[in-house]
Amino acid sequence: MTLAGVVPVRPAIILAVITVAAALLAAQQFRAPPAIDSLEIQIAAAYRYIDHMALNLARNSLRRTSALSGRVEAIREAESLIAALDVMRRSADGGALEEIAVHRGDEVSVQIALGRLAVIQGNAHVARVHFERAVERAPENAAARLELGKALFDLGRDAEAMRQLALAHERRGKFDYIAWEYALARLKQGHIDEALPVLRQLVDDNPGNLGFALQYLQAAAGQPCSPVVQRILETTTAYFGNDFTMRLGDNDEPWQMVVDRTRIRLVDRDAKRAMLAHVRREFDEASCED
Amino acid sequence: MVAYLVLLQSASLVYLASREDRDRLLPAVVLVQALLMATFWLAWGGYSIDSWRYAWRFDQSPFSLHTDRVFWIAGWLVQRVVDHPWALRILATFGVLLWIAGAWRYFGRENRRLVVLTCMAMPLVPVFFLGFGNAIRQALAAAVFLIGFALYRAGKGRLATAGWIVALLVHLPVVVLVIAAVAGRYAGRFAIAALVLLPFAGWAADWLASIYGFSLELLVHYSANEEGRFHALKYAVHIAVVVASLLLMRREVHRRNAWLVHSYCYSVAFSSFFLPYEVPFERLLLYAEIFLPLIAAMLFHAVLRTRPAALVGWGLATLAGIGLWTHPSIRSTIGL
Repeated sequence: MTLAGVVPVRPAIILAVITVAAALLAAQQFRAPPAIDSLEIQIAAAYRYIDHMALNLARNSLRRTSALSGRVEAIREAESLIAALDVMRRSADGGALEEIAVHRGDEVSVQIALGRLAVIQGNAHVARVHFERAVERAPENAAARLELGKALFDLGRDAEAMRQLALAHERRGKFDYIAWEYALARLKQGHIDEALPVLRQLVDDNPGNLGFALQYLQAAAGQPCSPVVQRILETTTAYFGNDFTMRLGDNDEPWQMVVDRTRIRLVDRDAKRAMLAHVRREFDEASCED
Repeated sequence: MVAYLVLLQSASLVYLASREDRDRLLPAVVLVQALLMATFWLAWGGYSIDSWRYAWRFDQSPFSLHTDRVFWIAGWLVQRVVDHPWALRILATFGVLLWIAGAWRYFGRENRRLVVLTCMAMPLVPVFFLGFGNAIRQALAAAVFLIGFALYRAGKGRLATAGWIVALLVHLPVVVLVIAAVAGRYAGRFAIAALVLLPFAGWAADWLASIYGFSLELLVHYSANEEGRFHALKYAVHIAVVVASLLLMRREVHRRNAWLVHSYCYSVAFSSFFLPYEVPFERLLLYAEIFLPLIAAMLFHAVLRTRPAALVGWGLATLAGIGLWTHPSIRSTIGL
C-alpha cells in the first residue's frame, strides 16, 4: 500500500512523526532563554536614549569584555546583547523605557538596565539610585554591585565604591570580568599591592590570556621590580600575532603595546608560555638585585 | 539537541528497517534527512564561538576585503535583510543543503541508497558541527566544491570548473581540495605514496629549516597556536578509513568511486604535511572530512549488507554519535 502511489504508507507515517517531533524540538530551541530575554529588555530600554556613537562603544565594550573573560557563556551573552543592539538600532522606536519599568520594574535586570542607561546619559546620581535598588533586590548579584561601585566612583564616593567593588569581587563566582574590573579600580586608586594578587589570579586561571598578563606586567612595572619587568619585555622573543588578532582585534592598543615593546624576531611555539612562566618566576622570587 | 539528532538518525533507520519497497521510500527519507539537517542549523546555529566576528564583519563593507569575497558579500547581503544570528544560520543551512545536493548528484541514480547512508554519516563526523558551526567559510566552500566534484564526475567539466572557482572565491584554502581532486583523478596510483611520504616531508622540512635557524612557523598561519584537540587521534582515524576504503576498492562495485577515494586519500596526505602544527593540520583535515561521510557510506554499504547487520550498525553509529554530540568541545564550538 502506498501513499499517493509513491511512498509506502507505514514508513511515511513514521517519517511524518519524526519530522513533527523534530520540528517541535527545534521550535523549543527558538524560545529565548530568560537570561537573554532580560538582556534584550535592558537594551530595549536603553536604546531609546543612546545615540549611534554610544551604541558602538557599547558593542566594542561587550566584545572586549567577552574576549577577556574568554568564556563561552560570556561570549554568547555578549552576542545576544549585540544582536539586540542591532535590532534596536534598526527599529524605528527602541521601545518605551517607562513602560518596561512600570511592568517589570521589580526585576533586577531592569534596574541594572535603567542604571546603565543613566550612566550612558551621564547621570551618575540616577544611575546610583537604580543600581542601589538592584542591590537591595539581589544583594548577592555581583554585576549589580559592580555597577553600583562604578557609579559611586563617578560620584567621587571612592570609599563606598571600593567597598561595593570588593563585595562584587567576593561574589563574582566564575565571572572573571568582575575580578578584572575590581583590579583595574584598585590600580586606579593606586592600590597596586591589592590589585596584583587579583591580576595574578586572573593570569593563573587564564594562562592563554595575554591581556591579563599584560595588565599584570604594567601593574608590576611600578613596583620595585620594574627593571626585571623591563628586561623581560625587552629581551623576550615571542610571537603574539595570532593571539593579537584572535582575541582582541587588530587595533587594540594594549596588544599593540605588547607588539611594540617586545622584539618579535622569531616565531616560537613555546615562547608565549615561556614568557609567562618567566614573568611569574621572576616575581615569585621577588628579587630585584639587577 | 541530542534528542533532535537521534530523530534525525531515525530517518535512516526507517529506511534500513523497512521491508517494503525501499526504492520508493528513498526520496522521502532523504528529504526528511535534508530537512532535519538544515533545520538543525536554523535552530542551533548562529552562536558559535566566532559568530560575533562574522556578525561584525557582515556589518562592514565586504568590498574592502581581498579574499573570500563571495562569502563576505553573501553574508553582508543576508545581514542587510535579517539580523544576527540569522545570517549565519541561513548560510549554514544553505551550506548543508548544498552539501546534500552534492552527495545526491555524486552518487547518481544507480547509487541512491548511498545518499541515505551519507546523510546518516554526516552528523557523525565533527565537520558537521565544526565546519557549519564555526568554520562556516570552510564548510560552504567545501560544499560548493562537492557540487563541482559531482558535476565533473558526471562529465560536466566546464560547470565543475566554474563551481570550483566559486568555491575558491568563498574560501581560498579550498584549493587544497581542488588539488587533491585533480591529483586523485590523474595520479590516483600515487595517492598511497603521498600518504606515506608527506607526514615525513613535513617533519623533514621543519627540521631542515631549523638547521638554518629559520622556523617554518613564520610561514604557516596559526602555527604557534595549540588549540587543536585530539589531532593525533583524528589522524589515526583518517588513516584507518583510508586503508579501509582502499581495501574496499578491490571490489568491483566500488571501483567507480576510485576518484573519490583517491581524492580523499590525497586530502588527508596534504593535511599530514602539517602534522607538526596542531591547528593548521586540523584546519586542513577539516577539508578532508567533507569527503568522510561519502566514504563512510561506502563502508556502511559494504559492511551492512543484511537487514540485522544494518540495524546493529545503525545502533552502534548512533551510540558513537551520542558520544560526539555530548562532547564539550562540540557543544562549546556551537555555543551551547
